[in-house]
Amino acid sequence: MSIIEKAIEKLNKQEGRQQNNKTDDATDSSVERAAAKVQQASGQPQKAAPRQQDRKVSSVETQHSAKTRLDVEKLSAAGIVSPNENAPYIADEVRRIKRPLMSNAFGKNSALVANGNLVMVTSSLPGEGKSFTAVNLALSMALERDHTVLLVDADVTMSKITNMLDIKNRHGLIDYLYDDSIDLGDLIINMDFPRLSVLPAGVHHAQTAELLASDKMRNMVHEVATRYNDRIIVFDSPPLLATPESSILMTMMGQVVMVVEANRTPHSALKEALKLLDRNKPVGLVLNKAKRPPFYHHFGAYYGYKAPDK
Amino acid sequence: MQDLVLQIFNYLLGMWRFRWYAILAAWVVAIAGWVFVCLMPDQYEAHSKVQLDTDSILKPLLKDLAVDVDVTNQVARMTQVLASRPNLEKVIRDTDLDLRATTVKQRERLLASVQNRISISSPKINPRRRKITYPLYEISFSDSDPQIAYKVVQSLVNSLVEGTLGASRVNTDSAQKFLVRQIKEYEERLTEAEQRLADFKKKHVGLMPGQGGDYYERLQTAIQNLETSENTLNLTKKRRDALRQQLKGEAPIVGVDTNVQVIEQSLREHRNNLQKLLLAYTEEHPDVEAEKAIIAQLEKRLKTAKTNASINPAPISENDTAEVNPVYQQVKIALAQAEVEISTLEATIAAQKKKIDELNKLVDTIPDIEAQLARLNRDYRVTKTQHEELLARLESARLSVLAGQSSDDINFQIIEPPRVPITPTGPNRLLFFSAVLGAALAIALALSFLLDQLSPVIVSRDDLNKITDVPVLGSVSRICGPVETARRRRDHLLLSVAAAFLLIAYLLVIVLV
Repeated sequence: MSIIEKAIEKLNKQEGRQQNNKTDDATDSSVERAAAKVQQASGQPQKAAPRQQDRKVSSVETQHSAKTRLDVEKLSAAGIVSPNENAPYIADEVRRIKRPLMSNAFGKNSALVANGNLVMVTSSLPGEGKSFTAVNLALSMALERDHTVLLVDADVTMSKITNMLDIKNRHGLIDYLYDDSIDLGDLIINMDFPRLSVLPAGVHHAQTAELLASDKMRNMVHEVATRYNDRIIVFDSPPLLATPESSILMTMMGQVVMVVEANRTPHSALKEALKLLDRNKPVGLVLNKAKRPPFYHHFGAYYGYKAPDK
Repeated sequence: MQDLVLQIFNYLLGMWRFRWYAILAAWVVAIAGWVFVCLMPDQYEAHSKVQLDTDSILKPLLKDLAVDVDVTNQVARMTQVLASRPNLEKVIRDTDLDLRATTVKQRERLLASVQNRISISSPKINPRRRKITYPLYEISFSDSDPQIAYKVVQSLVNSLVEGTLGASRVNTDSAQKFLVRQIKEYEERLTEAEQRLADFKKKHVGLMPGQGGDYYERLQTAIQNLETSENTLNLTKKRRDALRQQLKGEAPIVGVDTNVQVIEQSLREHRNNLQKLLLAYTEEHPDVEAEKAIIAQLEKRLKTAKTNASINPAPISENDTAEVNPVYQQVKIALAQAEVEISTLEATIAAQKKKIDELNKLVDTIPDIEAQLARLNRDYRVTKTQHEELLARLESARLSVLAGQSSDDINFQIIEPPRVPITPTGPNRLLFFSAVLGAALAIALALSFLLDQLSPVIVSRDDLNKITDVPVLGSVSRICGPVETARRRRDHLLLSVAAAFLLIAYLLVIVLV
């Protein structure tokens, strides 16, 4: 944890120094570099110094302009997000996963993919690591300099992300769907992690299934997708085999990421879940909690993302 | 190779899920197995060594006379007989082993187990050299009761020793019995054949060939005899005729002619005298001259008498009392003899002809009968020969029995008599313990593998690729937070402890037992 504190101090200093200097790019780059460095070193999303708003306009909706702190210590303590020296390669792996998603959303394939910036993270059974993958993906994508990320916790029953990021007891998706009076913009939370916003799940409601399948949800999704053309929205959805809402949600999505847990997911479950996938959309599998086999060459040390000295 | 390693790694990953089941199974199997091995009863083994000794003194003496007992075969047969079912049943009865088995099935199992536990190694005989290279029978038997083990071995040794003593005699006894039976049979046949022969002879008594040879010889002989007789007859007839002729030329009574006869006779006498005188005296002797004068006179008288006789022959008369001519008489006698001979011969010839006719009549039957007779004779001869041969063999068998009785062709010497074993020889518990451990480990591995195969999970990207064609974006390594890490460490520790305890238990078990 001392590394993080040091980095935070450094960032603060930097931020202070460059407060005057309005060269966003430089700031961003140095901050980002530092943030990225720290993140890679520790594998944790950095508590970046509060800084100027993003270049892009995505902060208009945030009436909650006070940014919410992303509690990285808690995250790492919970063992959820890639913690530290022991696993510097997690970031690489997530980065690899992110690439095709990004290219489907904005890159060369975006013309072929409808609503490519809507990414749904699901799995066949509960507990396979959807939330973990979704958060990691979101954080990794948030590091992209050209894009912003909205992380939506659509798994309203478990609402893990909401718990993970410590944004409980906030109104969220379900509240918006249930109550017509609530405005979406009020619900989206800006995290102090740059370019990351979160829409929590909301208070648990009895009719979640129907709400998620309603037209309002469809409209909301559409609006969120089209509002900013540089924003990618990551949905953390319920398991495919657990509830039917995920299938319904899938119909509104542009891309699907299916998380499979190594050493736990039975073949049968996976096959069943695969049958539910809509193959007209780009679908990808992610093997989570995999054990590295012998002779595995990981290149985590290549770009200098070595374990930092203590 | 690398693929193989990867594959094995994946299998291990899958099996790792069931590691606790595996450890549990290993423990259960190990404990159960060790308990079982501990409870196995001790086995005691009793053994005995018996030496085979086949040299015998009488053997070379009787080599061709007596039946040669083949030692090699005997030894092999002995071993088989010892381990055969009837012998084992006998052993079981003798040693009271059958008290353990009541039902038929139990008895079967007892017999099978005894057969398994008996170990008999027979002497090694080099068949080519007919020499014994290793002359010991080694008999051993193991059982949980030392007394039983001892008794069984003792019983086997006894049956071995007794068995061989009786074997050769049993052989020759049975051989003898066989021969005796055969001889009796042949005797019967012999008597039958004789009887048939006698009957046959009786039936055709006149037609038996007898001394003169068979039918054809007889016919020949008869014909020859006939010829001879006919020849003789001819000759005799000729003789008779000649005699008759002679008789005609002779005068039966010699009347006038008697003078001539007398004169001739006295002339002859005087000539003889003269000869005698001439031998003694010369011609000038007066006796000689007197004789010569007499002779001259006689010659004159003879001349006149002869001319008188030729001019005037006198008639013959039987009743004439004049002198009968002896020559005439002789000729007449000879003639009478010839006549008799002729009639005899004719009779003989007739008889011979008759005989020949008879023989010709039997031309068919006699050869048949002769053939039959020949056959009967042959049968009889053959039977007789067989009979004699059997008798000879019987004698030789008797001799061999006597030889066996007196010399004991095969000897047995008990080198090492069986004892009641004191210390157990088995089971090899160390081996069994180790085997149990090995089995436990194997079962553990197998169980975890089986369970993994029954509920397969995704383990690697390969699995995903195999199942579906949905692209795999990537794999995220497992990361453990401190809690998780601690938990895993604890888990591993417990597992190692469990495994270590298993090994310790194994060592303890080995040491204590």
